[in-house]
Amino acid sequence: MQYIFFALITGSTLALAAVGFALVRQTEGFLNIAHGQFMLLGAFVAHTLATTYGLNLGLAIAITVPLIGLAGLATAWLVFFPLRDKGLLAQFFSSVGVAFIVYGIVSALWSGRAIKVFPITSDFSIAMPGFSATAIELGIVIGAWLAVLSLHLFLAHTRVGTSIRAIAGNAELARARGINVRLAIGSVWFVGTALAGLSGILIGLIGGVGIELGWHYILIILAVAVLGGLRTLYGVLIGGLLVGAVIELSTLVVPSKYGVLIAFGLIVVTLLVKPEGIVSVSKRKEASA
Amino acid sequence: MSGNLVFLAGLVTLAMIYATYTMILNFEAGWGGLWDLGSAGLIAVGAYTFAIFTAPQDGIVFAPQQSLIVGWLASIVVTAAVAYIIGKPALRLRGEYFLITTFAFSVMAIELITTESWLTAGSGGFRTITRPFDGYVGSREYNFFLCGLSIVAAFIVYLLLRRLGHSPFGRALRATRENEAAATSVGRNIPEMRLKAFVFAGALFGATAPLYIFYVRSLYPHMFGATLTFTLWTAMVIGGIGNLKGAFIGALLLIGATEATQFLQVSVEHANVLAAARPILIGVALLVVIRFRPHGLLPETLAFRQPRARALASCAQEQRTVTQ
Amino acid sequence: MSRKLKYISSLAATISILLGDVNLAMAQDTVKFGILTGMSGDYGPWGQAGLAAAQIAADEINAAGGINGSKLELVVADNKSTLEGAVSGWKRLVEVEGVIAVGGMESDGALALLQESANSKVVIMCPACGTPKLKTLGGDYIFRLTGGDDDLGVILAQIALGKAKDAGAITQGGLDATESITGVFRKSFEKGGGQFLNDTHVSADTVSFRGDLDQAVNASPNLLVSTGLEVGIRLLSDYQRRNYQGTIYAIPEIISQEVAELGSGFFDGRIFGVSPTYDLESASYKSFAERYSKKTGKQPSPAMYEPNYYDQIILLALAATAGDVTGQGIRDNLVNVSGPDGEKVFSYADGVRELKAGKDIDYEGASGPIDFNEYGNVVSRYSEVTPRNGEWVNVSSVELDPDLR
Repeated sequence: MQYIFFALITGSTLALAAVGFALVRQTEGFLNIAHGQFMLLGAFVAHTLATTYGLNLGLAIAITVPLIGLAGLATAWLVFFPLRDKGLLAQFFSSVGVAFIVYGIVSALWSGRAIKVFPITSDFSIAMPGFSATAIELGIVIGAWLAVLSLHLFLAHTRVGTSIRAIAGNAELARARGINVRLAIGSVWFVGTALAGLSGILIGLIGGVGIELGWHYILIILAVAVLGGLRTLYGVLIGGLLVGAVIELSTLVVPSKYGVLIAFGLIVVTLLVKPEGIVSVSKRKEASA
Repeated sequence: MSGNLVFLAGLVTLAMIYATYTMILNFEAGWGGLWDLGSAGLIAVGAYTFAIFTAPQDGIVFAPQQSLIVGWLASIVVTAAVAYIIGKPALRLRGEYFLITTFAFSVMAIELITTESWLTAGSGGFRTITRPFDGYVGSREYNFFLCGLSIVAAFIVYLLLRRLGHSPFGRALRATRENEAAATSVGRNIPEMRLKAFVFAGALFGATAPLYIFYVRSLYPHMFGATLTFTLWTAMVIGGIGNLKGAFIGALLLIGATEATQFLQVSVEHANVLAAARPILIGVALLVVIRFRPHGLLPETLAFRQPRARALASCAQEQRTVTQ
Repeated sequence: MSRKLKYISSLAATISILLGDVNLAMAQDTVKFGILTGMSGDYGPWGQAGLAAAQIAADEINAAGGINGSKLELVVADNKSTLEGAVSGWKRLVEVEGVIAVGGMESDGALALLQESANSKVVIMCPACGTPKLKTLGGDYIFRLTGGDDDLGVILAQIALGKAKDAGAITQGGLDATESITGVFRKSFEKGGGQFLNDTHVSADTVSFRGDLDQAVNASPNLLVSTGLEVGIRLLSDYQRRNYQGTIYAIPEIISQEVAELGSGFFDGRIFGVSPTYDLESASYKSFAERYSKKTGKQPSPAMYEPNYYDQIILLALAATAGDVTGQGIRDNLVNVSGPDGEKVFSYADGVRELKAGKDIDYEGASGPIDFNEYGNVVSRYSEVTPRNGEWVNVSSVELDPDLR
């Protein structure tokens, strides 16, 4: 029971981190390595607002998340849009370049100590024999799924959301039908990067953030996205929960020093057996959904 | 002044080693279209095989204490075998799926090296490395010997790969990258060619891996992190994907530039800014090159005088299709 | 082929001209010490904090008239927290800059350059190298200002045996230091009659340790936390959140300001750590802390080894003053000026005065009394610390019990 809750916490943060990444991958077609660094940036900006400027934590998050979204949009406009006709490898390596730059900027601005810890004390908690959950943990799980739910509502029930799905399905067709591609792609970058910022903050809330957060998480995110299947957002959510479960539950079965080995072994096996991911949706179905 | 030469010899040694690896990467990724993100893992396998075979008994179970030549041959054979084991199943995947699979294999290799300390000395690592002709020359003079050795190795790899690139096999390999269907239709067995290329690259990584540990004179699992792989890829992108000379020059420039930042005097107040300078420098270099010279400093078309092979665009094409 | 040769030779020419200029700019009567440490990468925070401490020492040495009248210059090389960087930084410092001693080095770099340092007669000083391998390999041209990881393991076991008869450990895998501390802890703890129940390995690459921690606590709630700071903070946050009841023993990495403030009181009297600084209440530490915060605006934190970075420069300078101003001179006199015999001195200026008066000296540093043994290790003295009201405070000073080794 306790371990299932552990798996839920880890899985939720992973799913949230990966879903923004997958959104960009679907519409733009390349793996955006800079995604992890925007998580880092979000966590550090929110931490500074909450400590140095003494803002209420909720307010700090509310300011940071759209700010990171704007930063993502600006990066896309400066770097990725002009590269559209240069191919995916060019975009992929540009995102590596962006990741290096954001990482460099963060380490220049926030130097010194290795790790930032958010000033939170949670007094409320549910505790019974063999199970406990604290307010902050429940808050993170609920926050993550609220964000995912809003993303779903945005994609399913707004005009822009519909055009995003159309572009993800078939960009040429969408363009031909007169969909406002600029607006749609712009909002993908805004929303995707804002989600990165939010997930960075949530990860920070639960244990603190170090400067290497972005590099650590991008690898796990890649794994989650591949496991879930790169073509569907819902698969990515399941992928996140699954990886979370593997990380938390594997300690019950095998010596914990083999944890990483198992996680990556799982990725390899999935890829070799079912390269389209655990939840595969044919392209046609996705486009018409 | 001779002190400067010793330093310069060290710098050239490191640059040549990176250039060698980048050229090998160019062979498999630039020409073969195999997006290998696991080079660091293969280099680690080579380096560890060499060290295990040649090291004096030092707290590990299996220490045959063989001669350097045997260690070197073992390193080639074992690395090629590991490349075969990885490549055989993974080559069914293309583009970014292959990239993630090779990366995952690389992580697993490093994890195994860390946990299985009975064989690999684990995180404690090898503190000393048996080096050729060590002790025959003075320790300062050895820097020049190692420098010469690395230049020779880079040259041999260059000539070997250039010859291969112009051979029927090399042309066919590039053709499979450009147009899989056409290559198949003229009777090429594509999976077999790719596997051959991947295993050959593995053997070359194994053959040159000892050079790297001759330079750093010790061996720990953390030396082979993702940074090493990404540095090679960055050097290749800057130099020009698909161009052997480009890979060479790209690695030289990248190592030269990052080592040059050493000479900026670090003050207490600006230590953090300087620490940030290197990632920003690499990032900006990548962005500028990709934006304004998308085929790198030396595009592939310069290397092969034949109608416009467009590495970037074609890799992109390929990535969209997952072939089983 | 000839074109490629031309590339290389012109590149070589350019670089050697650049390097030549560096040499010309070098003034005649300066003494150069190198600082080769991670200013960026994993050790970046330690290197940056340590550099400030080393710079304070250099400024004080120059204010006291320099080394035999020559100005001391610190040449800093960033090894990027990699071995490759350590090797290339060493070549630059020793061959190009002509330093006579290199401070600030980390374990793996120091071991890789062990041979090199003796060959080129340049002293290596490690402020914080823990590796057990230096226990017997040091002492020729290599010295360290810490007792090493095996001593740490014994001290931690000593502290743990005083609190409870059972213990387990959480160890960050893949690190030489954490793995060897846990190994020694286990041996000493069992030797002292305790029961060591469990060792859980965690990897820094994993995104969560909740399950690992729960397993470890179920085996024994008294835990040795042998991890880096980042992993440690994540573990401890969870330990508090789950409200586990036990005692935590922490390695020096964990003794940071962040941990002292963590959990607002939950960990007071519950974490016991070993600080590499012998006595946080000593006059020399307090005076150093004051100078440090004046220079940087930050308090030193025992886990960052700032006092050790400071002491290494003072010691090197005293040794150079006592003999020839060369690497060999430093090596011959280092053990001597560190004590334990001789007139006790607490600063460079005092030391120089006594040396000029022909006396033997014993430098007592900010990090402790500092007396080297024949292998260039300092005789281990530590302080046991615990958090109280957001600060680390001394519980007691601990002398290593040789029976537990």
